[in-house]
Amino acid sequence: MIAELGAFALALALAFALAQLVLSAAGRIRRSTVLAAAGEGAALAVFGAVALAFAALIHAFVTSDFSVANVAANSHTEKPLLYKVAGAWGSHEGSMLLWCLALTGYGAAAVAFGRSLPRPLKASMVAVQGALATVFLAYTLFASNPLARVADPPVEGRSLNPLLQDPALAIHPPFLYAGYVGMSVVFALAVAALIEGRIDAAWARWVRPWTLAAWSLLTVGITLGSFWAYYELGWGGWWFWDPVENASFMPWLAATALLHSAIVTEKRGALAGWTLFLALAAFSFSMLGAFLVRSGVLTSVHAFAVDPTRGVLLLIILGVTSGAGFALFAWRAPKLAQGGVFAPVSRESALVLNNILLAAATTTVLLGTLYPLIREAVTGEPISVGPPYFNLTFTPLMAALAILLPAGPLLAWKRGDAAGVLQRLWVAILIALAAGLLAYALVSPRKAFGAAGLAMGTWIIAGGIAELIERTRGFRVAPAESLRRLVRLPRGAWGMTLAHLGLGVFVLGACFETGWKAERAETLPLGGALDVGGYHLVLDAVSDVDGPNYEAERATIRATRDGAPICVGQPERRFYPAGGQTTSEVAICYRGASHLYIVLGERRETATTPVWLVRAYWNPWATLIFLGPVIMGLGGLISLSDRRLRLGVARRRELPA
Amino acid sequence: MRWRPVLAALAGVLCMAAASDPAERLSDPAQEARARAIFADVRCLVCQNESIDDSEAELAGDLRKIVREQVRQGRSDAEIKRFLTNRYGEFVLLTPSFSVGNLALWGGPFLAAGLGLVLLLSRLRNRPADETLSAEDVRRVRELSESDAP
Amino acid sequence: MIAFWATAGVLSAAAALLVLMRAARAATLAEPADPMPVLYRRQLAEIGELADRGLLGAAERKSAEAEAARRLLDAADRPSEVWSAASPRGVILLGAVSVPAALALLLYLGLGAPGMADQPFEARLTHWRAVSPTELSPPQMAAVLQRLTRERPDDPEGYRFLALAEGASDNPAGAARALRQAVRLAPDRAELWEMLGEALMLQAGGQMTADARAAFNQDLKLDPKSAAARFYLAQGQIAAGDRAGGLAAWRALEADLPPDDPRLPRLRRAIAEAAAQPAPAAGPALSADQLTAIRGMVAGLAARLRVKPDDPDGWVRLVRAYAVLGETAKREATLKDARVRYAGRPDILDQLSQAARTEPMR
Repeated sequence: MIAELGAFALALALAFALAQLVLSAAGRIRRSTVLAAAGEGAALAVFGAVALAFAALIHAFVTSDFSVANVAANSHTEKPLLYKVAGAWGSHEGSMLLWCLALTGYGAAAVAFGRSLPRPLKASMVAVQGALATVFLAYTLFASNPLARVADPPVEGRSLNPLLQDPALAIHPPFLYAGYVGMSVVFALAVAALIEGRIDAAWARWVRPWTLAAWSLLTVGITLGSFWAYYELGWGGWWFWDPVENASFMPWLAATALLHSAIVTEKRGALAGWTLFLALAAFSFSMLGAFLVRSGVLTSVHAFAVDPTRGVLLLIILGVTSGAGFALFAWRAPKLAQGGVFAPVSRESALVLNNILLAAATTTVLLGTLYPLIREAVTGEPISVGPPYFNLTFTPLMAALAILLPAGPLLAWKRGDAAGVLQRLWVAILIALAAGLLAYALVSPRKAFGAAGLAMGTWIIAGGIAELIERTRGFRVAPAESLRRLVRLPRGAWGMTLAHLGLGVFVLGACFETGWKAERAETLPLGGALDVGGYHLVLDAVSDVDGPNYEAERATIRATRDGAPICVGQPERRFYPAGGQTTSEVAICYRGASHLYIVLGERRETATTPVWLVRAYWNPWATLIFLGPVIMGLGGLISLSDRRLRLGVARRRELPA
Repeated sequence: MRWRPVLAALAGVLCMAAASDPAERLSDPAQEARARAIFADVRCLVCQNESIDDSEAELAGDLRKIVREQVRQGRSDAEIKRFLTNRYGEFVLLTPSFSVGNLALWGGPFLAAGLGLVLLLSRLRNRPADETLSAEDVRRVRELSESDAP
Repeated sequence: MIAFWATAGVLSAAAALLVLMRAARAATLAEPADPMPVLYRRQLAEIGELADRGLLGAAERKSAEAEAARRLLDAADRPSEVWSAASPRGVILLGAVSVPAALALLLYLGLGAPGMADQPFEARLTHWRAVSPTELSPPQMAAVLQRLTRERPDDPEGYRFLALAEGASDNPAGAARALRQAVRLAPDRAELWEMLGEALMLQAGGQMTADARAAFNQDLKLDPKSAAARFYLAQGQIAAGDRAGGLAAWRALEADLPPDDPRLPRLRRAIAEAAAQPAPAAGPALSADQLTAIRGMVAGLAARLRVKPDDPDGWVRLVRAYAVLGETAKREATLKDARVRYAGRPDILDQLSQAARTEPMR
C-alpha cells in the first residue's frame, strides 16, 4: 500500500503543480492576493506530496520490495542499509525524483522565506516555479516513474553498481542536486523580473542568498564526487575533465560569476542585464549537467544508462525551459539595461574582470565538453578533447584570476587606489615569491610549474589574511582593539574571506600534488617490497574476505620510513557476484596533509608462487585539494547566515509592529 | 587459407593491466618516462573517456605496446602520434589538433575573454559622472526613508 | 483497498486544505511593506561602513549616497499596482482544489496499480518458508536456503543445498560462494570440493582457473578415484596446450571406470574429439615479417574478390581481417561494398557486422 500511496502522491504533486502555475498566474494577472496565496499554498502541497512519494520509494528500497521495478533493478537484499537507502537515488528514475524533491523543496522555501518580495514579483516567481515543477514531475511520472510496479516480482534484485556503493557517493547526489536545483529559484526570480520588467538593487539582494545556498551545496557536492573518484577509481587522480565532471563544473562557474556580479548590481545598480543572464545561465547549465549525463550522448564513467528516447526528451525539456528564459531575456532585457560606467581601477572593474575570466573559463569547459559532439555531427569525424586541452586553456585563465584575486577585496568602490592596494599587499607578495622560490630551490625534483602554483596559492592565502588585517586595522591599533574588530566582523565578510582562503588552500594542494606526486607499481610476492616517495612498502599478507555482498582479497601492506614503522594499509580487490564486477578498495595512509595511496591489483600465478600487482602513489598535500573546497562551501554558508542578507526577517527587528 | 590460423593466433588474448605494470615496462627509464608522457595523451578507444595510461582495457594495453615499441626504436613523439592518427584518426589523441576545424575550440575561450575585455574597456571612464540630487529630491528622499522608520 | 483509498482521499484533502487555508489567510493579511526604504537605509549604512574602512573616498561617498537615493526615488516613482484582497467567488476556489484532486485521481488510475499490496522481501520469504519446497522455483529455494544457512552457519549440508539451488537458478557465483563456506566447515568431504571445482569452472565460463584446479586437486587428494576431478583436470591440461598429457589422463580414466558407468560415453566422445583436432598454432606475437606476410595474403584475398566477387564467406573474412589489422578505413569501405552486394541476405549481413566488430590486433 505504501508504494501505491507514493505513486498516488506523485500524481497529486503533478496535478497541484499545475494548479500552482494556473493560480499564481491568475493571481498575478487579476491582481488578486487570494488567488496568488492559493498558488503559494499549492506550492507547499506539491512539496509535501513529492516528499511523501520519495519516502515511499525509500521505504520500498529499505524493505527490498522487488515488486517496484526500480528497486528490483537497483537493489539487493544483501546490500548494507546505507546503500539500500542511497539506492533510491542511485538510478535514473530515483534521481529524477530526488531532483523533483529538491525543486519543489526550493519552491516551498521560496514561498516561506519570500515574505518581503513585492506581490507581483512573488506571484510571477511562484508561477514560474510551478511551470518548472509541472514539466519535471510530468517527465518523472510519464517517462521514468520510479514507483512503477511489476506484476511478477523477481526473487532477488539486480543490485547497485558496486562503484557507487560508497559513503561519499551515497551522499554526493543529494548535495549535488540541492546545488543544481537551488539555481532554479534564481532562474525563477530572473524570469519573474523579466516578466515584471523591473530589476533593481533589491532584486539583486533577493537573488544573493539563493545563489549562495546553491553555490555552497554544489561546491560540497562536486568535492564529494571528486573525493569519491580519487579513492574509488584507484587511479590516484581527483579530476579527469570527464564530461560529467565538466557538466557539474559549468553551473558552479556560472554561479560563482553570478555571486560576484550580483554584488555590483546590488551596490551600484549596474550590470543588471549581465546578472540576469548569469541567473538564467546557471540553472540552464544545471539542467545541461544533469541531463547530458542521462541523454546517452556522452560517454563517461558516471553516466546513467538511459534509453535514447528518454534522453532526447530531457534535452527537449532543457531546450524549451532555458530557451524560453533566454528568449524572454532577448526580448525584455534591452529595455532593462542600465548602462554603468566604471573607473579603470575600482572594485567594480575588478568584479567585472572576475566575471570576464569566469565566463571565459565556462566557455572553455562548455566547448571542451560539447565541441566533440558538434564536430562529429558536422564533419562526421570524431575528435577527443582531453585534459591537455583544459590545461592549455582553463589553467591560464584561472591563473590570471588567482593573481588578481587578493587585490579585489582591497580595492575601493567607484575609484580605487592601485598604489595603496599594492602597499597593503607587499608583504603578501614577498611571502608568495619567497614560497615559490623556496619550493623551486629546495623540493626535488625541480618543477617550475609546481613552484609557480605554490607561489599562487600562498599569494591568495596571504592576500586574504592581509585583507583581514586591513579590516581589523591590525598593527595600527592595539591588538585588543583588532581582536574586538575581528570578532565583530560581519558574517558576510567572514564568508568571503573563508571562500577566498579555501580557494588558496585548494590551489596549494592541487599544484603541489600535481607537481610532485610519485607513482610506483610492482608485481610483488608475499614479503616483496617497493619504494615510493621515501617510503618502503612490504606486502606482508593477502587474505580472503567475505563481505556482506562481495568477496575480496585483502592485502596487508606495511609502510616504513628509514626503518621506522609508519602505517599498515589494507587495500582490497573486491568481487561483487550479484553484478559480476570487480572494484578496488584503496588504502590511504594519511601523513599530515599528504597521502600514501595503495592499490591492490590483480593476482597472477607464476611458476613458483602467486604475485600481486601493487601500485602505490605518494600524493603530497592531497588533503588540501578536498579541504579547500570544503572551506569555500563553509564560507558560503557562513555568509548565508549573515542577518543582513535576510531582508524580511531583519525588517521585523527594525519595525516592531 | 593458410593465413587463417595465423589470424586466429593474432587474436589470442594477451593479458595486461594498467600502464605502470612492470611486465610491460621499458628497461630505459628515460624512454619509459617518454612513453608514459605519450600515454597520457592517447585515448583508449574502446573506453569511456580514459587515456591509455589509466585504462585496464585490452586495447589500451595493445596501444601501449605499440607506443613503447616505437619509443624503443627511437622515434620522436611527433612521429609516434602521426602513426597513431594515421591508423585510428584524430579521435585517438586527447589533445585536439591546432587545425582550422578546431579554430572555434581553441579560440573560443580567448575570444570570450577578449570580447569581455573590449566591452569593459568601452565602459571605463576615469571620472564617471556623479549622480546629483536636487533640493526637492533630497526632501523626498528624507520623507521616503523616514516614512516607516521606527 | 479501502484503507488505501481512504488514505489517498486524506492526502488529497490535506493538499486542498493547504491551498484553501493559505488563500483564506491572504484575505486578512496586510499589504507587505515596500522593501525599498529598508534597503535604502541599509545601503546608506553600508556606504558609511565602506568609507570607514577606506574603501570609498569622500567624494565617492557622496555620489554613492546620491545613487542610492536615486534608486529609492525611482522605486517610489514607479506606479504601484493595486491588488485586491477580495475573495473570488467560492466556485473558483472550490474548482481550484477539486480539479487538481480529480486530475490526480485520473493520472493515478492511468499510471498506478491501484490496490497492489507492498511485497517486502521478508514477507515473501516467510511465505516461501511456509509452503512446501516442491512449489518453489530454484531462486526462491535459494533465498530460503540462504536464510537457513544464516540461521545455522555451522552446517555444511545447508550450504551444499544452497549451492545446488544457486546452481539451478543459474547463479554459479552464488553456488561457488556457498561451497567455499561448505568446504571451510567440512574440509574433508571430497564431493564438496568436487562441486566447488565445478562451480568455479562454471563461473569462469567453463574455463579451468587456478582456484578450480586447486579445488579439484584437493578433491583428488581426499578421493583419488574422483572421476569428475580427473576429467576436468585433464581437460584443463589440454586447454593449456598439453594435449598428449591430457589425453593420456583421460584414457587412464576410461580404463578405470566400470564399463557400465553412465559417464563413459561422454568421456569417449571427448577423447575422440580431442584426438581428432589439429594441433593449435603456437601464438607468440607476430614479427614484422609475419605481419607483412599476413598483409600480403589479405591483399591477395581482396584482389581475388575483385575478380570473383560472388563469395560471401570471402567478404566476411576480408572484413574481419581488416578489423583485426586495425585498418578502419578499408574495413568500412569493404563493409559498405559487401552490404550493398548482400542487402537481401540478413544472415550474411549479420556475419558482416559481427566481423566488423572484431577487436583490432594486439
